[in-house]
Amino acid sequence: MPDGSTNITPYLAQALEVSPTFAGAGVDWVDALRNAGAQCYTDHGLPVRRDEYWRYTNLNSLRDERFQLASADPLIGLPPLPHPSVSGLASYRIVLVNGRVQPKLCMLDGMPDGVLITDLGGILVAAPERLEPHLGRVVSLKDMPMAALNTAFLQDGMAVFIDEEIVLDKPVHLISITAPGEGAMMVQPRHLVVMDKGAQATLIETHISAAGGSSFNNIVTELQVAENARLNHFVFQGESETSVHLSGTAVALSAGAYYESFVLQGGAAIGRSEIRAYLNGPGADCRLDGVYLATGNQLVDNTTYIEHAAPECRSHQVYKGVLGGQSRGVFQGKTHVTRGAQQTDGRQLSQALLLSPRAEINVRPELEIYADDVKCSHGATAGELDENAVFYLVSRGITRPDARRMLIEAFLSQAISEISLRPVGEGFSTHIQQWLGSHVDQSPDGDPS
Amino acid sequence: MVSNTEAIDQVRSIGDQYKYGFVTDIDSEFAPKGLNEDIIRLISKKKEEPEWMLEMRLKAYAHWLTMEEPTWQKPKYSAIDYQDSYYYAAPKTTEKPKTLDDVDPKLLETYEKLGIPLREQEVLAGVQGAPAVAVDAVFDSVSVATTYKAKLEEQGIIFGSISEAMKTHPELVRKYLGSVVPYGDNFFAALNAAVFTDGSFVYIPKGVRCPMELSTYFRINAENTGQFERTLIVADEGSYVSYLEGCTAPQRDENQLHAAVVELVAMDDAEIKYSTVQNWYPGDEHGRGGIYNFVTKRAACRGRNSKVSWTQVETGSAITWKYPSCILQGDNSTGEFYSVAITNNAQLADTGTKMIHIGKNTRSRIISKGISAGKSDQTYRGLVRMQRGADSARNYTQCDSLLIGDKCGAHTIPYIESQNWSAQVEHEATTSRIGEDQLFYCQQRGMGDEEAVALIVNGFCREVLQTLPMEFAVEAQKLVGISLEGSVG
Repeated sequence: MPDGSTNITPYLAQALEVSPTFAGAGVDWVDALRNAGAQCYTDHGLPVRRDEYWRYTNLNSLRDERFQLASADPLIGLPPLPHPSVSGLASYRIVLVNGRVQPKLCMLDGMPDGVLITDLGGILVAAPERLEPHLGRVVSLKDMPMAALNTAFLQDGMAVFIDEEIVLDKPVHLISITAPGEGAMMVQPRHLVVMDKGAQATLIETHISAAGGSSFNNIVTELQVAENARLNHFVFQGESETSVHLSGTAVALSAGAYYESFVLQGGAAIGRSEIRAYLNGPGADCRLDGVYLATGNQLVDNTTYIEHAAPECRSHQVYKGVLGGQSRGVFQGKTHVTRGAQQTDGRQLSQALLLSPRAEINVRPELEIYADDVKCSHGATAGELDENAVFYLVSRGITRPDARRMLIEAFLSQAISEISLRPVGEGFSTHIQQWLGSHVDQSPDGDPS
Repeated sequence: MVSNTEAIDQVRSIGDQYKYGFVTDIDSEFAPKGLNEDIIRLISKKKEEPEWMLEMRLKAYAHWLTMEEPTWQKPKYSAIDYQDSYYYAAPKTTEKPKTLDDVDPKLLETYEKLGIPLREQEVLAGVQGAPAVAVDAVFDSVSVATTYKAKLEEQGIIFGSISEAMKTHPELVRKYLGSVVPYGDNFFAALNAAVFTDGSFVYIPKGVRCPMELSTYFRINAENTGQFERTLIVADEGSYVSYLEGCTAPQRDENQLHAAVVELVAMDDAEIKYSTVQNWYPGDEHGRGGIYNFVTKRAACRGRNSKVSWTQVETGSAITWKYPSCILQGDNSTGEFYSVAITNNAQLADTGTKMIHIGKNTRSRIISKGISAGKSDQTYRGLVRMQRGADSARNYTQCDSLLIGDKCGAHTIPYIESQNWSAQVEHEATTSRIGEDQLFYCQQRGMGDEEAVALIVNGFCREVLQTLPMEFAVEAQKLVGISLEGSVG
């Protein structure tokens, strides 16, 4: 890669060229935000191995700039959705195709007063002042270089506002479809959810790809959860094996707020979910859980950062993964307790099962603590299935592949059982069973090839 | 809560309790200040080194010049002016001392004051009936005395200063020096390779179990000197050695750099137990002065069934920055790391270990206990890597941190990398403080604050302290009490 390896800020030129034509261009603060993103990305460059948070996830495949920003509005219908139990759920449905909201595919009827679920591009034009106090306020661009690039491309995505004390009657279901067509396509969607005091809502995200060429999906989601508000957030990432899927979520919690996140990653050549949670008010409570499944040459990365910036907050994390083929798994999780954040309770668990001799796992749990009255812990394990347990089941007449599947399911169920919304839990369980069915019984040993 | 605050105040008022802060007034010979090829040639000449050694030093120096000082570590320090330091300081002697009686009495007095027995009948820390310990005493840049040499030689054990070994056993030194920590390894290892002045060399021949503990005692005395010592221990097939390292320095307002390199090599079925009680001057309660302890320690378990065990009790130094590591190359080899690090006042520590599993059935165990008090800041940083060929390897890691007071920090940064599915890795870390109820329980039984804290902290570190040789365990337990004196609850 004579050219590619020297290009330290790929896609920046594209952003600078096209962003003046985007919604909101000419509005001072919007221009300033995009420029700040571009500047931050210029200063930092595309993440490399030297960046602690990108140590194990190599983005060199992005350097050659072969991905072109998706052109507007490819009109496609809604492809079949995975997980009938999730897609069958009554919901406010908002659909993105190639990073742009497709009003024709959305189902947003019957929104209660005080609730707005819409396309970000629309408000950027119609009422940018409504976005100004929120957009770009939670995400820390210098800590997330790819979010900086996304900000330079900021154009469209989902925007949700829920006013004080409103309990949303149905979940919001964000369906994001990447349809690359023939070429190599890039999308840079930006989502924003603003929950006012005491509001409650559930957000479900389904990320899938339509058949076609390769794609690069660089998503940023900002979530603001005000005093005593509650947000449940469930994400399914099932993109095609020719895609690079990078998702950065930043969530700010005020006093007494609750945020629960579950991420199931099963797709993409490179799939990364980075969540940064800021517990800014006393008594905030945050749960980040996830399951990842990888095989072939996939790389799947879960990175979390939780900042306990106020006393009496709780954080809880359980991530479990299964790695077959020559896949690589990454888990990095940091719990940061700032000075004065007394009575913090921070727990984290990361476990990985290696199903094949060529699979690899890299784990970096991290504690950074500046307060003494805290209870913080992390645990991490990696290894293969317990052969004694397999033998126990086989000796009772269960076939080897079945025994292995049962044990893997049991291993993952600890994380899945954390999901508070039942249909989602069921949908994700079914997905795991199907994945295990097609990846754990191919060879006589029951190992994925 | 009241008792906590009181205890913390107490610690502040007590301030510095460093017992070893005195300076020995002794005539020393210095090489001129500064670092350049001439100084390196001078050091090499003073030591009457063979030509290959000088070449290695110059290569290391040339490489060092191309390197950048690392910045990734947690403790930040003000820039070190490498030209404003003496790289060679030695007590002046007209002639090499032949027996202990020829050694400058002031030196002997110094070691007596430090509790280090240079008379062969004595023992460490005043423990009656404890087995004898052979000591190599390093004062500033040179080794001044080695005890029990004759007795060890009977079994073919070589123990003494590395400069001497270069003359008496050049083939051994040349074969192993830099084979575990090459000069290009890191910034401070390169600096050390260029300017190291002395250190200990140990060779245990095949099948020999070293009959006594070997020990080196490092003392920085002169002002404006860095101490760069180099230790090399080679345990040949089927041998065993237990080695202790201790260190102190006078109380001074400026920071002094201690950049040592320790290399261990264990062949088939050999075992090395390396224990450190590090008590360099930690600086005063405002963080003025103290030693920068930037050390590279690494063991190569080259042989099958070899074993290396690192135990460290780190209570001193303004900044401690080191990762004693094991490269588990031989099948069935074992690496262990037991660490207690105590930081108080303004001390900073970034320490931990690396376990690189290369061979089959390799095992490693990491137990790290960190105690932060005052305004100190402490980081455990560790790496466990299971390489592709490390079939059925196992690692167990436990890192516990104890925070005393609300002004200190405790951080844990483990890296876990596994490329082998049959390798099992387990890591656990916790952070907490001394429970109110634990303190209350002790106080209720008539213990004072300090006593209760020392008891609880000693209990917290017990797993590690138990692995020290007996003489050191006693000293280390006392040291834990002193380092935290009053400190807390």
